[in-house]
Amino acid sequence: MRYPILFAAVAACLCLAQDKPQILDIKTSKLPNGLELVLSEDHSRPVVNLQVWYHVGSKDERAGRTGFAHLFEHMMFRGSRNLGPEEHFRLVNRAGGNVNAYTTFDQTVYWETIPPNYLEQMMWAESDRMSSLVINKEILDKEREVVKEERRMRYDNPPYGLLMERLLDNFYQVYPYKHMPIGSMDDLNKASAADVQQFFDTFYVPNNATVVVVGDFDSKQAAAWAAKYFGPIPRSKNPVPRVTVKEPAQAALRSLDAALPNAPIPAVAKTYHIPGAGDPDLYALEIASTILSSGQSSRLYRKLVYQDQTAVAAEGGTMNFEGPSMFYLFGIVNQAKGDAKAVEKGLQDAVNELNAEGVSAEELEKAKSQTLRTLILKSQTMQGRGDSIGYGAVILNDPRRVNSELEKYQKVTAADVLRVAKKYLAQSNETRMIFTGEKK
Amino acid sequence: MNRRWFLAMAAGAGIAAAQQATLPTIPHLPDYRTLKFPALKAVQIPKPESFTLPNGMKVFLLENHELPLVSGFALARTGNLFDPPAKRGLADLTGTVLRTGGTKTLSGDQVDETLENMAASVESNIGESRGTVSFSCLAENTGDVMAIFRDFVTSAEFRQDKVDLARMQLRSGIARRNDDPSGIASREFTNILYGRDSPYGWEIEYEHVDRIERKDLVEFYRRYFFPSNIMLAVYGDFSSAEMRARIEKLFGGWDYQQAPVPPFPAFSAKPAPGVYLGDRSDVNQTFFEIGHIGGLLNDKDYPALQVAGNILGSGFTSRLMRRVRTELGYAYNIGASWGAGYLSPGLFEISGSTKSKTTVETIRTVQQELEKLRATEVTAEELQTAKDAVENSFVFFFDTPARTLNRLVLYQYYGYPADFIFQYQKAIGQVTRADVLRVARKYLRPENLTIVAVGNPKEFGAPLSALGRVQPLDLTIPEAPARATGEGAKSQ
Repeated sequence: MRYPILFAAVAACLCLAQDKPQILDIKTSKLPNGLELVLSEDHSRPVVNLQVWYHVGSKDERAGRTGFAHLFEHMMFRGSRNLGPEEHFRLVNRAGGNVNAYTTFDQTVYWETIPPNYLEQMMWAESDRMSSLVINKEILDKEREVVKEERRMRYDNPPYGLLMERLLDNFYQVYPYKHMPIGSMDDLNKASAADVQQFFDTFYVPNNATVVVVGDFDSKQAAAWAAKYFGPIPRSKNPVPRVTVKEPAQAALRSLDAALPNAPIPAVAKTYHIPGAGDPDLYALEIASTILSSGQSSRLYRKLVYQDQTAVAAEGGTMNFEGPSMFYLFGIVNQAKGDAKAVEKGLQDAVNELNAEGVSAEELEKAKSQTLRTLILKSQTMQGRGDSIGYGAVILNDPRRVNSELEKYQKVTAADVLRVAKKYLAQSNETRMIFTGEKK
Repeated sequence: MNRRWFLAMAAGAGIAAAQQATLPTIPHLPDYRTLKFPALKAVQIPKPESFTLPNGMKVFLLENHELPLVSGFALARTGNLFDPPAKRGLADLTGTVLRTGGTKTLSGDQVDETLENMAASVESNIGESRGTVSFSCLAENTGDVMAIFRDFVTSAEFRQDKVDLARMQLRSGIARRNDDPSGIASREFTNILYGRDSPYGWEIEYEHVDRIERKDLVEFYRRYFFPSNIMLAVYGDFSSAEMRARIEKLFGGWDYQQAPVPPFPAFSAKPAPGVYLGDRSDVNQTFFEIGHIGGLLNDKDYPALQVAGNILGSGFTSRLMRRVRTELGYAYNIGASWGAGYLSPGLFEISGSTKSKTTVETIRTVQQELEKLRATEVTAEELQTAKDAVENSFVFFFDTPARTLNRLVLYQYYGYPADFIFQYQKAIGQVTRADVLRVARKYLRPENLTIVAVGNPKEFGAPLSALGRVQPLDLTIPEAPARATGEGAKSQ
């Protein structure tokens, strides 16, 4: 009887070994001015993804200037020394490519996905705006209005648009993740051209930038172009400032009810402090969140939406930041059958069950399979790979992390999940929020 | 709703447009216009293998070994255009419960469990003019997952509890349909243009949902899911010979037949130009939709209209974006497109949002831009940019096996030639400035615009009536008749 079991185990391992995301060939180098270059060639499709990561996000904004990193991102499309109105977009459009940028709590990323023969042109264009952004009051005033429209469209008016802003403000006591990248209307109104210039001089410097190229190109050639176009840009005189404030440890449950404009049905959030990016506990926490809430056979969905029907949506997960991060459970009340109290209890029951009994071997395997599939799907596009490589390089300080990520998830044991659940999902570490609509 | 819902609320903020600047060239950079590019490599389009089973089911296979995944879909000729007027929502419910209601041997929940253990998925949906059952899995699980997939295509069970759940969810969708102001604008715009008494534009109400029973779903499913009414496409990491044998084994014995499905109901739109107001006193921005009926994909002027639409409102370099966003700062988001459908017309649609105060000014600016497009030829550079964008984006149409196969199967499904995309590419290449002006004059009709604005009229800088007679939109959600059960209806 022993041999067949052993055989079965070997066979299972082999299968798993077959179905894996591709190991990426990743080359790294650094220019004398501090700019990091990360290259990953793959000639299977005639596409290149270029990303320029600046290690600056909304957490780096000073008090009274929230929304700045993002407003600045908009300014980066308002022209540089060699590129006039809309020209950056036009270059990419004419190449048939896609272009966009985004600002998060920790990073600001500019990217282009283009046919390979346009790579040199786009490296040139990125170096042009890194070295010579045009900043003046007239442009700033226009773009500020655009950002205010963005705030109205994305946050002020959609259902639950303001929930996350309120939630983060309550969850963090001092850490600058207290505010969202979009910032406040008041602070947006205060931004001056001098502020913008100072922000540029401080953070948009080669020693705070990482250039990632993925896809159908020649590494030697790309490195030569990087040296030619980015090389002459001088590094900053002072070191790039980093956030030094520490989020104090929480000692007891914090609980609050918040009235929110346009919250059509009450919603419940239970949030817990967890460590920031790179901490080994995060792998087990993510597995725990997958078991709780990934898919319709997950614990939360089955219990709250299918069985009890107290919620119309129930989910949980980690919000991973570079600094102190968050584990959350979230539910929207099914008003036909439940209320906020019932949803809160349902979520707490799930936490209690996890902390008392841990997870089964089947649940663990299922979560690992789901993680594997997510990682494979993410590596399907050149852009997905660029995102992963950039994140590894800039936030985790490990450009090749994408190649070892799967193994770290595969190593998580049921004991690990139980340990991190007990450690982090404790009531003393919880901030509980119930959101209801504002009376009109 | 999946877990991304929550994270989406925290997503980073987006992007911007450009501005003028005249500064000397920096010494280390050459002018980009002097950079030379090698020619783009010719796009290689993989050819799928296709065959028809003796029961009439058409099959398409596309091998691709890049990733250890296998995916596929069954496409059935059906759609909500076949909804009976009194039971609107039937196709939608059938598409949902087809999957959630399980198979003969496994309940929907058991299927969830089984598939999620393998990190696989099977999904189903019925839209306006097609129904799909799709699957995706790791290559090693192909056999198990395709067997489940087959059961859904041939013998879904529509268990009562999931019929009830789906009806409750559909009712809850009706109750929530006025929560999002931008959703109201696009819904009302579509309904007005396609006609509220036509399956292209009518609204599903409680009374319709309450009339639908399990047997209606089963009948609908049995009417449209039969072999000669289905195309099956599979792509990914397999050997074509083995996959063919597998499909013959899975579907070869399925001999269920029905009468051929009739054509979809004819489309007959009556234009309804005018200014419509959806009153939402609790928002600080106006969401607007402006336009009229568009055309078909195989219209001979479609390529020129596509170019005209792009120049007017596609992307950051478009005229509307430059004027409304970059120059005026009135909007974060504004766009226009000439919509074209396979069988029935799409919509010519301009949409965006602006703070309440600048509502009328923004809509007027849109109207001016439309007039300009009809008054003089676009510039040579605008034309070239729009044409290059289409030409160079061709590689992205075929960059994954999924996209390649989807496109080819859809052409076949809707009776378009297999090389339609290349005919279109060629036609785009031939569009001239005179063509753009000619089609703008012929097809874009500023006098015939339907304008829908959803916002807080008390905060508008100028009254909406400055644009014409205003017809208020009734956003009330009609209550279900007395025989209905459940939590009942309420107005906005």
